[in-house]
Amino acid sequence: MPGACPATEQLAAALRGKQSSPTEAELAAHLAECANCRARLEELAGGSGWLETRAKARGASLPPASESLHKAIEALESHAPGQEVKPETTAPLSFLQSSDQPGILGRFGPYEVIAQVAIGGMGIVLKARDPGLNRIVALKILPPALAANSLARARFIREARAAAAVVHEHVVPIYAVDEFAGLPYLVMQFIEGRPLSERIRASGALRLEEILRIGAQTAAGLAAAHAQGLIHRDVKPGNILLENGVERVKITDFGLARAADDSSLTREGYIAGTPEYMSPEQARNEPVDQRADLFSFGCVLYEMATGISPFRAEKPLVAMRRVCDEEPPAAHTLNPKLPEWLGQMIQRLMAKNAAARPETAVEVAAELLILA
Amino acid sequence: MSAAPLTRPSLLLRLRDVDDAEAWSEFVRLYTPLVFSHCRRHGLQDADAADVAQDVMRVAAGAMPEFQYDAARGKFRGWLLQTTRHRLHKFFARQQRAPQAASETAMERFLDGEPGADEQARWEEDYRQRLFDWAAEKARAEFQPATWDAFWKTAVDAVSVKEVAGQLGISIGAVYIARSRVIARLRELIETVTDEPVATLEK
Repeated sequence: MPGACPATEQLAAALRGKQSSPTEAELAAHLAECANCRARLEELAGGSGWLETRAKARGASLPPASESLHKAIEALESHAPGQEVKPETTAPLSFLQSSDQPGILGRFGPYEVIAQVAIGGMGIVLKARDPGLNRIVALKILPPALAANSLARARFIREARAAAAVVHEHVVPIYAVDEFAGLPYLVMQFIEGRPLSERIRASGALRLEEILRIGAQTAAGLAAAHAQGLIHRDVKPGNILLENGVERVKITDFGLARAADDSSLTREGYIAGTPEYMSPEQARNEPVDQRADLFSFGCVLYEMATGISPFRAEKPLVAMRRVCDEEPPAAHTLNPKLPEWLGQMIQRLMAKNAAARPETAVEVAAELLILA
Repeated sequence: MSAAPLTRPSLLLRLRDVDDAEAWSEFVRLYTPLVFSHCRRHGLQDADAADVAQDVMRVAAGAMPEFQYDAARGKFRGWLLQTTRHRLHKFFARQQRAPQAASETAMERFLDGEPGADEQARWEEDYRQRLFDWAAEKARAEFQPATWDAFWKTAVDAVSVKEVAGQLGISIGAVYIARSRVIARLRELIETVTDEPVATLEK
């Protein structure tokens, strides 16, 4: 046999291509004859066993890569998670028909548009005048990007019609559901006031009697919708309007979250709206019932009670995970002025498992009313 | 005689830093084909499978900064499988108006539950295969063509060492050395992304 068996360090150096003594030729000559050193080298390389398995497995290999796969990988590489796409904050109102009338932005169907109120994932909200009845209304228009999707369009109309059937003092009344220039829209009462989200942003945690009053009215509004078999699916402070003066609660946007569900936006992996108030079952895309709204309602109570949204996160996808996995500290531990029973009620509403939540919004409303 | 294991920040750990673009790129290249394959195995067309894979990877992107390092050991694959199944479920739910609705409803029911032992095993096997393919894609460019061929022909194509030595015009011993060098590099590459020794993975 040519040469003596090399030391382990010499074999290791050979693996790295760094050996000097013996030379590669000398080592090669030795290996050709010495089965034991071949086994030592292979073992040192870490090849024992697994490589044979892999080599054999190549017969039943992965489905072949394709052009589409490469495109997907390229798209992902150019879109690192550090750079999230920001939703547009101003909507192009190019779909309005121009108008010469002073104080009017333009026309949308029979309506004279006065101002843009808000824009969200689910729609553009405009303040408008209904010339027929001479009253101010709010128009909610499905954004053109979503309206291009026939499923989203059909869903928007169906959900809006169902929502229009709910008549309750704490639900924003819907006057009409229609379509204009390919854009479905709904006509609602225009509420002079501001959403609960702005209220909390301005003043932080609310006083106990306010929490109970706003909470009881919200629960009552939800109960009325649930009685008709309707689930809101996007209960959050931004959808709870407080009327000027009396601060009476008016819930808006019933069921509209569903319209965006089929959208091209979610197809591309973006989540419509903010998922931080979403129930875990929604985050996991599982079937939901009215108890999903109760979870979200619990988050709203929590935020009123502490000034903090319990599952808040910079990125929607992170918020989704927190909703599913994290237990925020009980509200009464963050705000010592809060009675413990309210903190516990909020915990029950925010139970991860729907079965552990209160059954109905009616009982929650009743409990809050008694205590208010 | 085994060397002390090298400690490197694992790929999953590096991904918690959203600015580590290189880690992201590696992550995408390694796992997207795995998710894609799983979708193909569930009968999705090429373009649909690529779409769903892209969705899943974006969900993963959002989840990574929150992923706990210890929990990530081995668990990440399970999580990725679950996420893939949820997205497939969503995909099939959207297809309900298609004429083959009956079989798809069955598929939906199937995807609604936990993965069965078969699916789990398939996924794990695909994962190991993907690790190997990924490492091979990367390592190939680092070696002389003859070195690479010495490895590939003997280890993967199961050609005898003697024959390969003849084909490449090098000595039998040189084939052994070349082959071991590539194996060592593959193992090293795989261990940078898994935190699990290769030998454990294959058991």
